[in-house]
Amino acid sequence: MRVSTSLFYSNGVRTMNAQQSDLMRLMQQLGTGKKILTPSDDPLGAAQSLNLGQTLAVNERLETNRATARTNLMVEETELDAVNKTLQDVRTRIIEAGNGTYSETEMRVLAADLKAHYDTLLSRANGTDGSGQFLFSGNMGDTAPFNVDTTSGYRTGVYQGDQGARLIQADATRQLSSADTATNVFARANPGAQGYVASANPANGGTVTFTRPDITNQAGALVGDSLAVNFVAAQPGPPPTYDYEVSVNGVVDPALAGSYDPSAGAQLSLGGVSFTLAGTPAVGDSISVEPFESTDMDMFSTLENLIGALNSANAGDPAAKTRIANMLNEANRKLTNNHDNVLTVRASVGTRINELDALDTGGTMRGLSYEQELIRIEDIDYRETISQLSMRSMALEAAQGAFMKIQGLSLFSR
Amino acid sequence: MSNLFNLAISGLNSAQAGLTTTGHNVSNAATPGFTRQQVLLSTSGGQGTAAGYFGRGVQVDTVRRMYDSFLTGQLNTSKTTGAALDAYESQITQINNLFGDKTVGIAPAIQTFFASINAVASAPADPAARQEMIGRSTNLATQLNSANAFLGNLREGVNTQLATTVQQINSYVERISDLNQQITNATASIQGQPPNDLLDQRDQLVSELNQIVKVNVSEQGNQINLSVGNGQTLLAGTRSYALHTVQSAADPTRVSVAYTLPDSTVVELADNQIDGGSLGGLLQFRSESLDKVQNDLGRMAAGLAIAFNAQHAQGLTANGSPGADDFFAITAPPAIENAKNTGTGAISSTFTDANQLTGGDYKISFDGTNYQVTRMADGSAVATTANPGPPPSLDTAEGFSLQTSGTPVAGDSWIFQPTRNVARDIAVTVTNPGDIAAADATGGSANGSNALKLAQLQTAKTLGGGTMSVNEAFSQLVNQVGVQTQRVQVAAKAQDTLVSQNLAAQQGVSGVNLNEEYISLERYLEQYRASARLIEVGTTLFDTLLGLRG
Repeated sequence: MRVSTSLFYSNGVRTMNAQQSDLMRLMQQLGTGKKILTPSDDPLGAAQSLNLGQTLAVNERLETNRATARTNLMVEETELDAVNKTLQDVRTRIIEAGNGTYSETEMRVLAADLKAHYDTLLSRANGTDGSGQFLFSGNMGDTAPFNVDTTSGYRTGVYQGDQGARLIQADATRQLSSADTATNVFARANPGAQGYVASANPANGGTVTFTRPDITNQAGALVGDSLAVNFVAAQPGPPPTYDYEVSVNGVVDPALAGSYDPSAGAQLSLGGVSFTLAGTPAVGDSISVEPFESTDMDMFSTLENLIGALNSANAGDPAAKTRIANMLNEANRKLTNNHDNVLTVRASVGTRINELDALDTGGTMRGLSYEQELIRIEDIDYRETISQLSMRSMALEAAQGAFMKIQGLSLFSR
Repeated sequence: MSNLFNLAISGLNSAQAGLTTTGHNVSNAATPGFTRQQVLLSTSGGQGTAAGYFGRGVQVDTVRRMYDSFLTGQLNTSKTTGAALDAYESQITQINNLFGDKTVGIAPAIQTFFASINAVASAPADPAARQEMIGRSTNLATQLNSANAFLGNLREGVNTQLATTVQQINSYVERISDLNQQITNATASIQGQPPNDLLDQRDQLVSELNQIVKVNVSEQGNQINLSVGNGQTLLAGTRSYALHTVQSAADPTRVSVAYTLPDSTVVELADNQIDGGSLGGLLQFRSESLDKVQNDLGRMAAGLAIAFNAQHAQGLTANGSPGADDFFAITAPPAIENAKNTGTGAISSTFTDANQLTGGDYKISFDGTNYQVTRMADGSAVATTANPGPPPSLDTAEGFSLQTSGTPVAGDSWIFQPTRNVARDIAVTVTNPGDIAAADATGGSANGSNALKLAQLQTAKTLGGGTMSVNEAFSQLVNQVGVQTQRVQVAAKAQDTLVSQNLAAQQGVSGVNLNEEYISLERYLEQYRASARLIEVGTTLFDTLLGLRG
């Protein structure tokens, strides 16, 4: 086949150009360490690496979210610890006072003591995190959970926050609550507690006291209902007795009415709920026996009522003494339950922190595997690329050498 | 005896002709488009005598161009395809490089944007987190704007290149027309002898023209006619018809190639009617790649904006008012009126469902009573439900609805490009950090529930009929660019090999081989010397005759 001279030259140039551009590409790959310089180098790999990049970024962001959640929960844990210790002190003092031998002065000292503890609990409830947001007010982080009267130091009004859970995205499909509301910490019956608490109407004029109500028959007909014993009439006797009615959830049940003899006291067992009454009632007095879930479990209300009663101690008034005794009984029962509730919340905080740790471990493992996959798709194998580079350089030199040899072969240049 | 002198002279002349031609070949060995020439010799016949026919020497018949029209035509065809692929490749490589580094540009902007939303969801009352989110969302919009601006610049560049290319075509056609005239004159003035070098020049011009656009060549006598596309004549003999570029009547952002009829009507050539050469490559790039990439980028921006705005409007800002429903402001564009419309109809649009957007363009036509919407990609009709209104509107299942107004006339048409400019227009309207609607309807300064839902949009399938998230739509876009670029690169490389094979074949016939020419030189030199000897012999004979008397 005939070969023209200009074809020689143009072919030589072409092959050298081709080798040089391949060489340049290899050098760029080595310089950046990446196989994929532009999407056209590996279109599928380019798309995959973009998708993996997003997955990796999401993973990292979740880790940051978890750190935020952990910080919030740790701060809450500190507050709950303080509440726990305060409640322990309060309960100890109440039990001491319940032995009935305190004098008026001692009652007043106890009242002052309890007020100090009350202030501590209130300031804990209104605690803030590092950025000034209130911990226990649900979603309304700018609002304090409770308003405080500056002169008396007592709480005014009701809970000002809401029930928002402050959810944080801790994992792809898991939103974790990073705070608890003041309602759940300070004003809630311990979840699952099935007991009863008895309380006396503060307006009682008699001296009826009660013992702690127990559930003697779990399957009893009235277990779970709110009961009230109302002394409606006095029978002169002799001996003088008092007629009482029992209302169940506010509705009088005539079948349960009975007669009460003050000298003997009474052991009442109403539909599985039993308690003992002692002392002499006045007509119009009433004793309520309610399950924890139905009664007001706000510990601040409990303490306010108790402090108020202690401050109006009057040794000469048997009704006042009775009132204080009943109130101590009621407060002890309720605060024990409140204390259990605070411990429950504290346990749930601990559980959540543990879950965050577990999620962190999982997240780290996943992050590692994503990065490995990304390396497999994107990065070059240095050994392979370097050996290709030296092969190409050799090919370029060979092409150049061949061209030099051939171009001198012409009869004109002899 | 005098015969000897004549014979010698004929030999000398033909040797000289051979030397001249060989010298011409040698001088032009590197001239592009040069076809080597060969002297054709034949005997001058014989003189009849009773003793036999005595030859009269050698004559030069013609100087022949070693030209194979089939091989040259084949070379031109492969070169024109190669030029088209090269032009396509150089344009699409720019888009390829734009998306090359995944650590800069749109992908990281998307990730940091969603990370900032997560920060707000975890600490909604933190003003720093909110400010960061404003900054990141503005950054994302800016990245989309600048990617679109890059594509817009490419589009402008294509328009400019079209104009210059068409001017080049016209100038080539003029020059070929001149050569046609010159060749006719040259052939007429010397009967029967082809003007080889003029023919070479004309062939070279045709070959260069083919690099710009594929032309069909037909010979008419010794002139050639040129046409493009499906037969639009550029040159008939010495009469040339110019092409020019116009703003397309259907879409004013596009430049089309057009020609003018004698009655001054301007006829536009469709993009797919011109192929080959850099012109064909540019047009193919524009309709296959540039339009598609810009539309897909806009679709991604639309998907992000529509889904985000809808969720944002469901939340409450820091001071309790409902969130803005145009956090990312985008505009649903009006349909573009065809410049030839005679009615006063106008069509505007609204986006209804980003998930149904296809990224395609549409043609709307009015037949007198009803509007027809067809997809431009394959011409298939789009089902619409018409609401009488007023104003009358058309709902489609492709993510938008059209509102019509004015009075159109039968035959009016519009072009509708729903996502073409979304990435250009997208902007963040919320500048005050407190206006971010992080809380859900229950409110509260520590409420980040709406922000949690906004953050989940990162992986929500908001595009492609529920199959792609925003990032996946972007990676699909990058993948398409990569695939197209790879395809063009591979095709260009393969075509390059084909062109060099065809070139070798053509050069095999028409190319100058210096060794060959050297030998020819020697040969003609030898013949010249031999013919000179013949004169010497003739002179000796004459001298002998003269010397008889003495």
